[in-house]
Amino acid sequence: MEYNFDNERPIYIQLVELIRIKIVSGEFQRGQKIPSVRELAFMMKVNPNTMQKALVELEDEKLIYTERTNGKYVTEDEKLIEKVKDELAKEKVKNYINSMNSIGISFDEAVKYLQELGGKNGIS
Amino acid sequence: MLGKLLKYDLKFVYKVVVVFYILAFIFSLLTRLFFSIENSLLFTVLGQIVNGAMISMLISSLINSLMRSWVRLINNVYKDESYLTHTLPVEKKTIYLSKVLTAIICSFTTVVVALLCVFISYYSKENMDVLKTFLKLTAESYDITVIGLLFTISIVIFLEILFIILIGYVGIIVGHQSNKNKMLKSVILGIGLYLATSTLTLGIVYIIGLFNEKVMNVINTTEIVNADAIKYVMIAGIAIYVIYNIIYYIIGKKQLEKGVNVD
Amino acid sequence: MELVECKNLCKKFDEKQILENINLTIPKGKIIGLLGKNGTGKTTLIKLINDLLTPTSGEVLINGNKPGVESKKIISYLPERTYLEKNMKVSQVITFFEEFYDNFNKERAIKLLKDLNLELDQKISQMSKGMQEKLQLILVMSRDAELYILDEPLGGVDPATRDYILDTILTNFNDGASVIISTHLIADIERILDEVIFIDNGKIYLTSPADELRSKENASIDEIFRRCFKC
Repeated sequence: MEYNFDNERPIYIQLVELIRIKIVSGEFQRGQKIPSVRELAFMMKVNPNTMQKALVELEDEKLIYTERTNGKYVTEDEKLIEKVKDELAKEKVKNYINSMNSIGISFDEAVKYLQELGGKNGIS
Repeated sequence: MLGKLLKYDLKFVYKVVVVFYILAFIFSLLTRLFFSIENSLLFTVLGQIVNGAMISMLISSLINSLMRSWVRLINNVYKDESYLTHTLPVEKKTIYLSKVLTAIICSFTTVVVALLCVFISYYSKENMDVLKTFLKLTAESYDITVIGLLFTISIVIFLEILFIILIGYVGIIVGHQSNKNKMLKSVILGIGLYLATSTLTLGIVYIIGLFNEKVMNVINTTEIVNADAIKYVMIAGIAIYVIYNIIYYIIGKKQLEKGVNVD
Repeated sequence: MELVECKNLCKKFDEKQILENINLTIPKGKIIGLLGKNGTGKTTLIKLINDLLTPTSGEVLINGNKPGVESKKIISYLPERTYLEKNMKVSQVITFFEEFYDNFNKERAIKLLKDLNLELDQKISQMSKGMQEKLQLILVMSRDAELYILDEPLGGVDPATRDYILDTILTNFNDGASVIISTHLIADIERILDEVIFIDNGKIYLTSPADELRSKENASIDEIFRRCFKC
């Protein structure tokens, strides 16, 4: 998988976002051990130090935790994951509505588009 | 590390020089062969030709020994390859010592090959007798045989070749310390040093001559040179060249240890 | 102790000042971008660290010592030049590196050569300049060094190779080692940098952690660089 980074924003913040999505989407499952810093860095083609910084940030958010010598694990706390997912979803919807507004489409019309296309294409 | 460096330095120099050694060797055998066939104009002519070829191969091997030693130093220490040479975990003085040892070994083998080829081509009882009558006096008075004298002369030639290579090294090293016209400065410096040192040698021989009549005769007379004096001059020559070579070795080493500035 | 430390480092060629009063430290375990336009002194600085030039004044210290045998053991340097003897074969070059560098990892080199389809019995003189550069990168990254110094590793290669080179750098550099990458092609490498050093006119213009600079200026390193050095 190719990861494209936006060079205008700190890379570590983008890494935090990427891994957060992996967690809420279930790619990294609750309680699952995640790959090492080096492996993750190589997967996403970034500097291990930057990845380390991102993981520290995620640890601050309690989304992952370190088990002494064994490595890092995704949190067991389902509520927390749900909460983060909820926040992300809200943010995405906000973005959607905003961008529809920007091309002159009202909220009601935007909902219509969603129902029309979302039903057909499924989630992609 | 010295051994490893030396291996690669020798490889570079000998790759070409050995070819000339082999050719000189073959031509010397042919010379011997053709000259040994008597009463044949064809073989006499052929003999002259291969004899000439042998001599030119010997000269080529000498020139290539000099040139390839210098080129190796320039390429390896100052051109693109220097980016590798100077980033090897080796001291500069070791790099230089390897180059000097290459020069010593190469000068030595060139002289040995030349001696061998000359011996193969010309050795005969008559020729030896001619030499003996010419050198007899010396050999007896110093209690050394004719071969011994030839040997001494070979040592002087070996030291002279080494001396020329080392002067070239110093010229290259000092010439490359400046930022512009490095090659030109190297050549001028090398030639300048050679002329200056050679003049000094003559001066020294002259001073020795002041105390030794026989040596003075070598300088003054146009008559057949006294073999005794040759002997004397040769021994003085060995001493002088050994000292020169040591001095130029040290100068080169000190200058290189100052560091390099490669383009 | 800092991995590399430059103290009041100056380099003049005749009367031309190439580097002026460089004070710089390179810490351990970082990937550092040495960024500047062509001819601003990047290569001169790198050559001073590698003992290919002698400082006019000031000094360079590597682990506290002047460049020498010890520093050369731990620095793996990729110059812009093609520095291999032309009549050697790839296999002989591998042997050469193995002989001289204790930290050369032959297996890694052979694996990387395979990845890039380079033949062991090929002569250097038969290889294109691009292939020689790849070979040199492989040789340099196959050493378990403490500091890798890569001078314009991306110059003149196609985008596919560029990605491969960045991957090779990322996957092969030793744990805890530092990497200095000098380049003027900033967009291609900025995502892997911890820190950036802008150099211009022989002087250090700024040094900063890359992400810090991005947050501060709200722009990519590439764009910040362009703003700083508008032609």
